[in-house]
Order: sequence, then structure tokens, then C-alpha cells
Amino acid sequence: MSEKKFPWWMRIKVRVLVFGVLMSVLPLLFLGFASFNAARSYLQESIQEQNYERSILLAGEIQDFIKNNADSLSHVTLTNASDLVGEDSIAREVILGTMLREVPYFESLEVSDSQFRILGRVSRREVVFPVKQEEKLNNLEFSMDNDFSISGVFFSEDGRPQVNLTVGIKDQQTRKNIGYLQAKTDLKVLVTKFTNIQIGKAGYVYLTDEKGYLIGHSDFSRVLVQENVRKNPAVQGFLSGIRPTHQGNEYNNADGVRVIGMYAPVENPKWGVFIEQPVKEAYQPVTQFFMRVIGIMLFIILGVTLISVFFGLKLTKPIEHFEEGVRQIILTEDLNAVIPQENDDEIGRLVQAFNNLLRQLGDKTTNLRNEQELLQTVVSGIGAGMALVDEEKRLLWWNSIFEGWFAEKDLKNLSCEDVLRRDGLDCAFGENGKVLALEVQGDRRYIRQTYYELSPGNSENAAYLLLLEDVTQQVEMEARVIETEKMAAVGLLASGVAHEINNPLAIVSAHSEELLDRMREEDDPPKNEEIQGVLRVIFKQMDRCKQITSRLLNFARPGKQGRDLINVSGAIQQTLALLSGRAKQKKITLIDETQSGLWVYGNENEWQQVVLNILTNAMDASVEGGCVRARAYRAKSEIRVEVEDYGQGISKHHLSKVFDPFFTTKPPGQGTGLGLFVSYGIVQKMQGQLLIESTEGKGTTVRILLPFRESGGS
Amino acid sequence: MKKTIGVFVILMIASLILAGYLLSPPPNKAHPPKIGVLVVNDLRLIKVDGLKASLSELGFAEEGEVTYQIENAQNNLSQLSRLGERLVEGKPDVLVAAGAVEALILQELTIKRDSNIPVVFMGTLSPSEIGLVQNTARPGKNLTGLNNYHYELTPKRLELLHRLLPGIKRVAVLGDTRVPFFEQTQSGLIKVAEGLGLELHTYTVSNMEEIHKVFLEMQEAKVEGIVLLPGFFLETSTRQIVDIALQRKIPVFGVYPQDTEEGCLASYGTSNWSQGAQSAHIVSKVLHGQSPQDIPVETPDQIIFSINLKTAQKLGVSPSLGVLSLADQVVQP
Repeated sequence: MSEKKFPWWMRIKVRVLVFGVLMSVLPLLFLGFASFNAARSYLQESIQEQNYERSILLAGEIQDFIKNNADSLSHVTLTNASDLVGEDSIAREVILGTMLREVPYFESLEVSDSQFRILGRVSRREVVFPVKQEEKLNNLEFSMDNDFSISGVFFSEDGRPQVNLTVGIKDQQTRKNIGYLQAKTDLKVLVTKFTNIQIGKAGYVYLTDEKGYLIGHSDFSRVLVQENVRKNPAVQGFLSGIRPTHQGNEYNNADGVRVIGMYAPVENPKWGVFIEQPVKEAYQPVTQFFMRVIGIMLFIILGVTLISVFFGLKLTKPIEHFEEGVRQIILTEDLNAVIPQENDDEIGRLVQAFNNLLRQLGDKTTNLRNEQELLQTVVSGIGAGMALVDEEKRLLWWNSIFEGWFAEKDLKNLSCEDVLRRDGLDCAFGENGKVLALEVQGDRRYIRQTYYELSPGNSENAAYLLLLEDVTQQVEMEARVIETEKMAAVGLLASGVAHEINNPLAIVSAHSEELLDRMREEDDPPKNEEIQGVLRVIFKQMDRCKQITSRLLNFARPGKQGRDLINVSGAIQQTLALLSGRAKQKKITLIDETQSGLWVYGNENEWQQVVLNILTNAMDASVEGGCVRARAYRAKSEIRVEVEDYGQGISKHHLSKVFDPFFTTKPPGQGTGLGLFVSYGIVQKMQGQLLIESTEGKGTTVRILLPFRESGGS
Repeated sequence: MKKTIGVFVILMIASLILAGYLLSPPPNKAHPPKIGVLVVNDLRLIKVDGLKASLSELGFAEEGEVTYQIENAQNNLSQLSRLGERLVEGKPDVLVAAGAVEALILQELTIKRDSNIPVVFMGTLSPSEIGLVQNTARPGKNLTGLNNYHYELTPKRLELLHRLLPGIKRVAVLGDTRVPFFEQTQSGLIKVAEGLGLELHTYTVSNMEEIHKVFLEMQEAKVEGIVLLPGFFLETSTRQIVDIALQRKIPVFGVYPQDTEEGCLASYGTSNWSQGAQSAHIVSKVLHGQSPQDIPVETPDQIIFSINLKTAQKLGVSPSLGVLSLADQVVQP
């Protein structure tokens, strides 16, 4: 039986490893990803919150910047209103010069009267020529309702973003507007400060005015080329007046980079502060955290894998050694081998139990071998041919004797018919115990064929055990016994026959002597009629002798072997005739009550012997004047033959032994003691029964029951 | 089986390496950025100081966050090229030129070596005019920086001198023809002079001998005030010029705030420190990965008006109070 191959993934060591790794990896994965997701959400929110706060802060700073500068202007107007618009140009110049000096964000300052006619100006970079008459303030969008006004953003020649802040000058007493003070305010420093704020590595800040035009950017060149940012969703949200949230928007910027954008509106001026950060960079901490989580998981998986491998190997090594040991045992069939026990755990105990089992198996195998040898010896020495056949009557096994009888060729799986095709031997397995003669190795032998049905499911799958016993000796002995008994019976019959022959011979002798005497009388020779008369008597008596001797000869001749349909009544009648002389001698009446047409299967000679034995016994048991009845009749499918005598009977003690060989109650020389023994065997061969009923002192009835056969049938 | 074990071992090793990589700290600072600075003389080291201070505020402190390699030509112009080569070979992350002469040398070197090392100039005259950049809004190549606006402020200096000393009518403009853009500034000065009602005389010098000669000419022309034009020679010769001018009682209006300390009556311009400090913002952008070609050239955020009352006293002049109020710095007598 070939060994079943197991795929590698079914091995315990692999399963232990996989189990260990899975049991640690799965929860770890679950926890890791749960933690990562939670951390990611938190980080994303934090980043968005941080950028939102930044933008709010920047918006506040811008507002403060503008307001502070406006307040500076307002403060100067409050404290120097009259000097600013007065006649003293030096005083005005001092005030303006001081302001320009003190507020570094002011690029230039102009003061006008209430009609916007410029009264004086100072400038940081531009050359200030003497003010022309009627020169008016430019870029004025002022309302007295507001503290200050702020113009739109414009750019100087050198690209600096600037706005005009204008405040009104009020007379301190009358509160009447007496002029305006306008400062060209430089936003460059403010913008530089904002745009230098590092938003990660690739994030940036930009400012737009109230119309969404760029006024500041971390990359100031974009401001100089007036890059259109109005399409950005964040700017669109700002322009729409939507209040920003800390959640921000994700969109692609002008360079096609995915960014997350935050914005915060400035209250006054109505500018917008925008922070954009590439999504990839913004969430880099998340990515790094994810990488770390993966790294940690990998480390743990590595550790767990190594531990699983270690323990897996540790666990499975004894099992593998055990397996190897078992394989070796199977290979070598050495049941005395011992697999080393490596430790005292369950595996060790399993090895120990296996060794014990192996030892027991070895002992039992030895015993079985011994028994098999014994059985083989018995089977070979039994003297009978044995064979096992299956349901299809094919030979499965045979012993040496069977092989010796029939082995002309290899017998394996040959059909029973092929091998046993001999006269009478068949494989129909109908009649059990049939004895048949066949030629075996040139000798004539008698074989009793017996078969036994076997239980299904046996190891050989055999249906029948065929037993062929060489009963040649037995048969020959039986035949010799029968012959002996027959000769004994013949011997017994001979005296009766001799006695019977004496009568006719005496008559013949008497008549012959008389005839001779007459013939010697020359004077009165016998007439022809007298001679014929004497000759007729002689012929008749000779014929009687012939009949008597032929009866005996008929009984004594060997007879036909084998079995055939025989007439039961015929043999009884012949035997009665044969015994008539003796019966007359003993003055016993033989009564023939047999019916005709009673046919059985058997050997005629043997049947006659049976009848002779029983009638002889009946005659021997009868007293003078007694009678012996012989009946033969059919009772349904049976033929009954009864021989009844009214003699001395058989005691119960002897009744149980009458069929024993050599048992006799007759004096020595008057019987062999084999008569009933042989008769019993012959009746059994005829598949009948021989029964004796006897009452001591009253008589005996011998009853023979035989299966009826239709005449002409076989 | 051996193959399976081999594959398993390889997988384990690969996983270990990957895990180690994933758990390794992020390479925040692979190496501190390196800044190479080319300086023509000690005067310009103040710019470097301003640069360092401002960079430190922007997160690039010298201790561990940035390294500097400073090459000083000690006023030897012929050494600039060699020193510049040394800087370029040091493979810095950014090169910084202390002024125009240094910027031109570094530009030449980076072109010669086909190098893309960014160069930031810490205050030069009109960089587009002198060929450092193609366009101040989009410089275009590997150079950007600060236009110190000194030339552009010359008319303003003329105005401030006039307002300081309204009585002065004949003003000399002293320049150096070797300085680029010299000719282009003349028409603007003339227009301003006319607007202010001043008579303008233009003189140029390129060495000490010529200074004396020029002053003789000025004396003949009865020049009442001198406005210095920016230039390397003039920058280094300011003291000598001022001394001679003081001897002749001629007020000199300088360019840099330190000119006032050297005896000029007044000066109007951005200080070296401010130039360095403002340039630091540009250097910071470069170090953060912005390309110089996308960083517009800046103009100074801070212009200092400085007046030396001590010199005024020596000259016997009284500066106008109105203009005095504009002064950011006043040297007291």
C-alpha cells in the first residue's frame, strides 16, 4: 500500500507556524489599523486645525497691522490737527517727517485740506518736489463715517504692494473736518513676514484683496505676474462669503498639486489669508506614523514568526523523529525495534505507548507465525486436499496436497470446474460428503468431497472451503470388510446351500442307482419310458441344484461397482430364496410381504448384502417354528423395508452396541460381528436410515428407510 | 525543503530590513545646509553678520543648523576668482555674494562650471542692469537677491541734500564710470536738479590721484555740496573723500549709513546689516527649495537717513529742522 503523500501545508509544523503568526498578526493588524485610523483622523484634524488657527492668526495680524497704522495716523491728526493743515510748513514737515521716521511701513505721507488740496508731502524713496498749487490727493476713497479708509492694493515700480490709508483731520474744538492725512503704506514687510512662515516644506501662504486678486504669496513672483487664484475653491469660498471651517478643502492648485486649503477673512480690509499645503506633505506625519505602525507590526510579526518557528520545530521534531522511526520500522519490518523516547510529554508518552504496542504486535506476530506454521503443518499434514474458492468458484488458496493432486498448471484464480473436472467431482457443491473415485497421479483413489460455507468478509474473501479427503484406504477397507462379511455370509449360506443341494442330489443318486440296477438286469431291462422318467427326475433335480448354486453364486460374485437404481423388493426376494433352504432346515417360515416397483439409488450387491445380514440375523434370532417377515413398501417419498422376527429380541444394553464393529452375541465362528456395522454403513451410503426396535424375549424389527427414486431416474 | 527554508530566511531578512527602515527616524536633517559667502573686503562682513542674524531668526542658527564658508578677498580683487572657485568646489547649498563684484564673479564661475548652485547677492546695484538677472520679477537663472537701490535713490539724496541745505545751489555728483548704469542715472539726476533748481556738476574718479584732481575742479566750479554715487572704489575711499571735502568745507552726502560716521554730513541708503538681514529671507527661501529663478529681486525694506550734526558743526551749516525730523540716525555734536 503505497504511502499517501501529504502536501507541505498540511504538516503540523507549518500549521503551528501559521497558527502562531496568524494569532499574533491578525489581532495586531486589527489593532494597528484601528489605531492608525484613529491616529490619522486625529492627525488630520490637528493639521487642519493648526492651519486654520494659523490663517485666523494671520488674518488678525493683518487687521491689526492696518488698524495700528491707521491709528497712528489718527493719533497724529488728533494731536497735530492744526499744525498739519496750518500755515507753518516747517511744523507740518516736522510732523510728517517724524511720522515717516517712526512708522517704517509708511512709504510716503501727504496732507491735504478739506478740499483735498495737498498741503505737504514726504516720501521715503520718491523725490518730493515742491507741491504744485491745486495738486490734489489721489486714490481717495474716504468716508467720514469710518475711522479710516483703505484703498485697493497697488504695486510700486519695484513691485512692492502698497495701499493708501487715509484719515480725516478734525478740528479739535469744532470736530469739523479740516483736512486729510494719507499714508502710502508699504505692505512688503508684512507680506514678507507672512509668506516666510513655513507651512511644512511645500506649504505656502498667500493673500488676496477683497476681489480675490493676489497681493502676497510665499512665491512673490506669482504676485508680480498676478497669478489667477480666483479659481481656487478656497478663494471662491472666501469671495462667496462662506465662513471657513477648520475642515478645509482638498483640491488641485494651479500647479496641479493636490492641496488642502484653509482661509480666514480679514475683517477690515476685506482681504483673505489662504494657507495651502500639499496633501501629501500635510499628512506626512500620518504617513510616517503609518510606516512606523507597519514597521512595528513587521517587527512583531518577525518576532512572533521566529518564536512560532522555534516552538513549532521544538514541538514537531519529536513527532518527526517518531514518524521517521515508524517509517523505518515499516521499511525494515523489524517489530523488535524501539523508537527512542526523547522527553516525557504527550509525544514522549505516545512514543512509549507505540513501543509497547509494537512489542505486543511483535509478540502476537510471532505467535501468529508460529500458529501459521503449525496450521501450515497441520494443513499440509492433514492428508486432505484443501482449497478456498470464492463466490465465482475461483480458487483463491490451496494446500500442498491439493496442488500435488491437481497442479498441472498454476492454479491461481482458475475456476473450480477447470481444476476438478473429473468424473463425479464438481463445483456445484450440492451433495456434501460425496465419495468419488478418480485418477490421481496414476493411482485410483477415492476422494470424499466436503465443502463448508464460510462467513462473508473474511480476509481471503473466500466463500467456500473445499475439503477433499483421500478415503481410499477407508473405502478399500470398507470394501474388504464388506467382502469379508459377504464371504462370511457366503460361508454361512454355503452350509445351507450344501444342505439344500443334498436333497436333489440324493434324489438323483437314488434314481440313478435304481436305473443302474435295472439296467444290470438283463432280463428286465428298463424301458425307454422308465429311463426317460428317471432322466427327467435327474434333470429336474439338477436344475434345482443349479438354481440353488446359482443363487449362491449370484450373491457371491463381486457385482457391479458404483451406484444405480436398484429394485429393493427384488433383492429381498432373491435373498429370501437364497435362505429358503436354511430356513427349511431351521423350520422357520420366511414371509415375503414386499411390494414391487420400489426403486432406490445404491449398489445392488451391497443392498443384497444388507438384506442378507438382516434376514440372517432375524433367522438366527428365531426359534424353530418361528417366522420372519420381510416387508417393503412405499410411504410417500420413502421406501420402508422392515424385517420382523419373533425371536429372543435384543437387550437394551446390547441394542446400543449392535452397530459397533465386531460386536456379536453369537458364539465364535458363527459371525464376524461386522454384519450390522457394514449394513449400517451401506444404508448410510444409500442415504437411508437403519433402525432397530427390539423387545427382549419378543422379537426384533429392523427398519430401513430409503429415499424413493422414480424408476429410470438418476 | 531547503529551498523553502532559504526563501523563508530571505523573507525574514527582507522584513527585518524593511522594518528597520520603516522605524528609522525620518531624515529631517540629512546634513546642515552649507552657505558659501564671497566677500571682497572687511567692510562687507557686516552684511554677513546681518545675514547670519536674520537666518538664525528664520531657523538657520549657525550651531548645527547651517554651516558657513566665508572667503574674504581682503580688498584684493584679483583673488576673488580663486576664492570663488574654492567656494564652488565646496559644493554649498547656496552661494552668497556680498556685493556686485562678488556676484559677477560667482555668476561667471557657475556658468563656466555649468553649475546650478543658487547665488544670492546681498545688495547690488540694479542687478538687471549689470546683467546678474534677466528680469527682477523673474530672475530666470540661478541668481537672485537684493537690489540695494543705491543708484535709484541718488535723486532722493539730491533732494534731501537740497532740503537739508536749501541754500546750496551748485551740487557735484561724484561717481565712477566703471560702475555700470552710471550713464543711465545722469538724465534722472539732471531732471531732479532742474526740478529743485540746482546746478549739477558730474565728476568721476577711479583712483586716489583723480580724487585730488577732481576736487581742484570742484573748487574751480565753486561746488557747494557733493553727492556720492555708489561704487566700489568710492565706497572704499569715502573717508579720504570726506576728509578732503571737509578741508574745503564742502558737505558730502553719502550712500551708506556708515558714510555718516566717516564724516559725511548725511547719508541715505540701506545699511550693510539691513542688506544682509533682508537677503537672509531670500537665502531662506532658497534653502527651503525655492528656485532662484522664481524669487523676485527685492528692494530694501529699510532705508536709513542719517545726519551727522558734528560734521554740520564743522562745516558751519545748520540742517533744516523739517528734514532733521526725517532722520533715522543723528550723530550728535
